[in-house]
Amino acid sequence: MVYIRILENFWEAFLLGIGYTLLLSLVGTIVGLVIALILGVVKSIQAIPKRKASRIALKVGQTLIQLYVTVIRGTPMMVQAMIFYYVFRRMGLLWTPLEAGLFTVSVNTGAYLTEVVKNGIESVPKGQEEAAKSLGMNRFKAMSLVILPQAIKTQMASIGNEFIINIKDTSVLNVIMISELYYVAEDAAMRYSSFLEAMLIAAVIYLFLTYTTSKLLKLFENKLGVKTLDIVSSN
Amino acid sequence: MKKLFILLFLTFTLFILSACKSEEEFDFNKGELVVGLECAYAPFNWTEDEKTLSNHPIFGTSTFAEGYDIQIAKIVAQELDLILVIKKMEWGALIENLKEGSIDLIIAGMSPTADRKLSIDFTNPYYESTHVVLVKDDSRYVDAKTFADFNGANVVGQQGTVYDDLAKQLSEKGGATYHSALDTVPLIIFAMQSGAIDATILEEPVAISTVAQHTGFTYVTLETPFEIAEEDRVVSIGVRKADSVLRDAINAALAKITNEMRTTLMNQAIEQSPEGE
Repeated sequence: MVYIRILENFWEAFLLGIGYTLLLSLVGTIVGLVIALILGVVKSIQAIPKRKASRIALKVGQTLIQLYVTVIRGTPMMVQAMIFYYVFRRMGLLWTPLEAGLFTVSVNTGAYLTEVVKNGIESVPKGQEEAAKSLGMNRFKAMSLVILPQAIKTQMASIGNEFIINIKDTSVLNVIMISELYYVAEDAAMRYSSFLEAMLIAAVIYLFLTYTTSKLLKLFENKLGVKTLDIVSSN
Repeated sequence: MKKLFILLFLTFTLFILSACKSEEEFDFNKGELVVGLECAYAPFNWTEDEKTLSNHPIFGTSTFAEGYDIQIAKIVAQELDLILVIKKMEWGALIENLKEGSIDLIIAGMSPTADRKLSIDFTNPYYESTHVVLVKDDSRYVDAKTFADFNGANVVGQQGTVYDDLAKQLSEKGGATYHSALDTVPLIIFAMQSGAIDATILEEPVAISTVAQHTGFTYVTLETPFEIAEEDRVVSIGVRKADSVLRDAINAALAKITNEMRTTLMNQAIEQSPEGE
């Protein structure tokens, strides 16, 4: 049986592949969320600053964020990985494939979640900010202590969904020599000339990862008392 | 119409006769040596439309066969004092055709694997590939001679090939950093140009053409060779199991082809081989 032969000889490689896939998607989602929180806040500012210099800075900042979101969302992660890893290396940034991979997933997730965070902030009632200010909080405190926690809570389903999408989408990172799950499956397929069997094994593992992750996220969301999203859609 | 009938009848009779003869040994008096190959596996063999000084007509067609296998076949036929006949056929049909007697030999870049040895015999190898390490010509690995000289180098191979196994060998024996295999040789070349990769393993003929096509590359041959299973390394001539006399005669002929001559013939074949191979 080919399945048994593949699992016998490749189980360690598959475990390592699962490790890389989870590492990339988990770290990528967390760092991406941090990026998105900063950029989302800047993007959501609607008040017009009084000083001219601040007005220009805000305008430039928001335009750059829009550019970042448009470029990253409009290009495949596989292409980004190739450009980030090889081109930056040529420019003197001597990073490892894994570092470049983590960077790619983070930057990618950041772009997708910026809009999510902005929507979250906008969904928090204006009264919350006014109440925070009436308690003597400055703008930064009101945003980080009152508005953002509520914004994240309302968008928890989308953030969790992004994590699940990352589990699947990191399968392209073998182009920069990261032996994530898909790479291992491809390797096993070539070794035994059994593509169907190796891909079915990969599919089952991916499904197991995404399904258990979505169940865990659901538990977490229930604890937070927020609505959950059942269907996992792709970016 | 009558002529056609006679021709068909003759072909049929010939076919039956040759099928019957398959149990018998090769008859040196028939004056011909019929060699089967694909004519589509450069640099070992391929098809050409125009006659040249070195190619050989393909039986029953107006096309010509060229390549390393053809040069070897010509030498073997000459040594045995036989007229060379080349028949073109599907790769998958070669062994069947040899067994049923419609060809006498397979000279088709075929490796003597254990599976094939169950149904046919093989001569001594007529080509043995050396695996070499491709490096950039301005790197500190240009003078490398041992596995240990690649300590710390980033090494990668092509996915699904023996090159990937050899990249692992270089890492295990020499302390190089192994990277997960890449899809194609051009992608590996690109990774080397970008500086991400210092070394990759290739068969020498492939390395020669890579160095010729890309500036900034060279290759080194290690003093201690890689450990490679014979069937990943050599190609041999296939003969029927009954033909031990023919096999010994061919082995004697092959022994006269020196290593230098084999290298020269292979290099010529690589130079002449059609684009894209």
